[in-house]
Amino acid sequence: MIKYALLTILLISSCRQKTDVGKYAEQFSALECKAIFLKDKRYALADRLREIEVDSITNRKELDSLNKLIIVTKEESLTLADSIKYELDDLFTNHLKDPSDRKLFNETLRKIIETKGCNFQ
Amino acid sequence: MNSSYIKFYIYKKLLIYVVCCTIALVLLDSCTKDTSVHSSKATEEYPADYILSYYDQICKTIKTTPGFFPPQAARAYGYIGIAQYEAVVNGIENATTLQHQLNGFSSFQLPQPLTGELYNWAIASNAATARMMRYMFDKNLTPANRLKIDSMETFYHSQLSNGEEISIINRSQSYGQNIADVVYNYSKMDGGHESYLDPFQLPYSVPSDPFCWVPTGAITTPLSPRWGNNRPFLISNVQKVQPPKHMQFSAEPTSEFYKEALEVYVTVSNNNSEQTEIAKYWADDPFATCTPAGHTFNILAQILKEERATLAKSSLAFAKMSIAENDAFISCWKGKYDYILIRPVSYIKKYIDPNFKTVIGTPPFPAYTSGHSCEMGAGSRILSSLFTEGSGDYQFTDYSQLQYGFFARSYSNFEEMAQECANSRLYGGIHYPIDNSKGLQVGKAIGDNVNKEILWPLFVR
Repeated sequence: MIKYALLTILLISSCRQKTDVGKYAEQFSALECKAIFLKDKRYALADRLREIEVDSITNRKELDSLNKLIIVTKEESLTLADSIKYELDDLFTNHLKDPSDRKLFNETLRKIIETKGCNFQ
Repeated sequence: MNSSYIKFYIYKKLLIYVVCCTIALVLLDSCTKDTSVHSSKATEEYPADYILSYYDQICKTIKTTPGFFPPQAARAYGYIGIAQYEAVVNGIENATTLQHQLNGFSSFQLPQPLTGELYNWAIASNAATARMMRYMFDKNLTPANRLKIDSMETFYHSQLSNGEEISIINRSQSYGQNIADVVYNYSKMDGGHESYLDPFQLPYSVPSDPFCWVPTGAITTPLSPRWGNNRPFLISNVQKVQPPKHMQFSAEPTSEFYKEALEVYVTVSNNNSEQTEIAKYWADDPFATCTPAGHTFNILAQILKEERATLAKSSLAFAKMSIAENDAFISCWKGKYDYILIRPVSYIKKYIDPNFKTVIGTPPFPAYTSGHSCEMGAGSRILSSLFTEGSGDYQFTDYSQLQYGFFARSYSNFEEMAQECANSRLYGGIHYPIDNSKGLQVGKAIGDNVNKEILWPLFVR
């Protein structure tokens, strides 16, 4: 009898843990999607910058507007990085204290984003 | 005896027992308070939360301060690391000041704790760290960052002073500030003082030999060409670890040089999505990160937090990493400007394929050796010494890049992580394989020197 009770408690607690990790990953995915979007934007801008700066005199106008866009994107990225860092610290300090939970969180986050994709609207 | 007398007797005994217990608890509590508050507690008895927050702020400050390229960032980490360690070293058992162990530091007189006086090492370290941060970013420090550092200092000073005697608070704060002043004076003589005001160290002329670096983008002069002349913390980190000359330059398809470039070309052409991700992950990407050294410090801070390291262990860890990273960039930059080697992208476009594109941008300085490989090679050895018995085997996940849009990556060994970082430069198309292998080799030797040549305390919790 005791054996069954212990087994039930163990099962319930392990199920609950997994659900929580999933829940946190789901909540976090919106932020991470924004970060991925900004990362892709930064790389696209850097690529374009490399293409046009080869002939910087001809492309002066585009170069100027690109540089302005880079400043805005950098500011957006830094603000978002701060928010993500804050959220992650809170999550790891208060909810996902165990390293295996954190690892599972990262894997679940990846799965969620890879399966559902990001809505960049 | 009747039952009421027995009850009375039991109650009386119980009452005496409770009163005695209460008195004992009160006495015990007051004794504990006395020893824990008004004394020079060992550094390992303080929590490390505040120092970890400062390292988070250093990263943010680097990201938002003009002129902080990888060498300048590593230098800032370097001197802040020395100051925060010196502020607590007297509270660590068997620890020795770095003053007579670091190159040129002996001629500067560090303050000594007054004999018979008590100190709060955390208050001292708070004062030293905040002041050193202001010094290292000084003229380019934005008002927002200055305000943040000031408010952190005030907040932690107040938190750490809680319950402490005013004389101890003042003495400790002043001690920490004086340490920062001395370390700053020491830093002024290393050749990199205020280099953030002129990171390209102009004027500088690049030789025109065919093997020499040429601009790979709009920036026409290479970054910090005289950085290799800076004073390292350990002379051996520059003198004893320099890489051998790279392979003979040649445009012949049968030559070693051509083969190295071809390997870059073939790798980039066949990168899978994982390799492209790795290239970008370790690039410490355009415009938004606190440079490769910052990435390594973020990893260190994360592990210290996970390990619930004390102030003693954290301060020691940051000091070791600071010396290694600062010297790794000096040593690496010396090699870069001794050889001034052409970047793969320039060579490939000229001799293999004019339409070649790298995965990530090529930074504006010579190829040989790779700065990333060098700094992470050094970092891996420091991490191994701190968290393993030397094997480097350690299961961990690097979450520091989630904030920049990358999924965390897991490793089971610090060397494995360093190797991946080195490989990332090949996948990115910006380094020859030899830049990475020799860079790693140099970096690891630097890390080993830092571990062995300095007298570090053993068994720090």
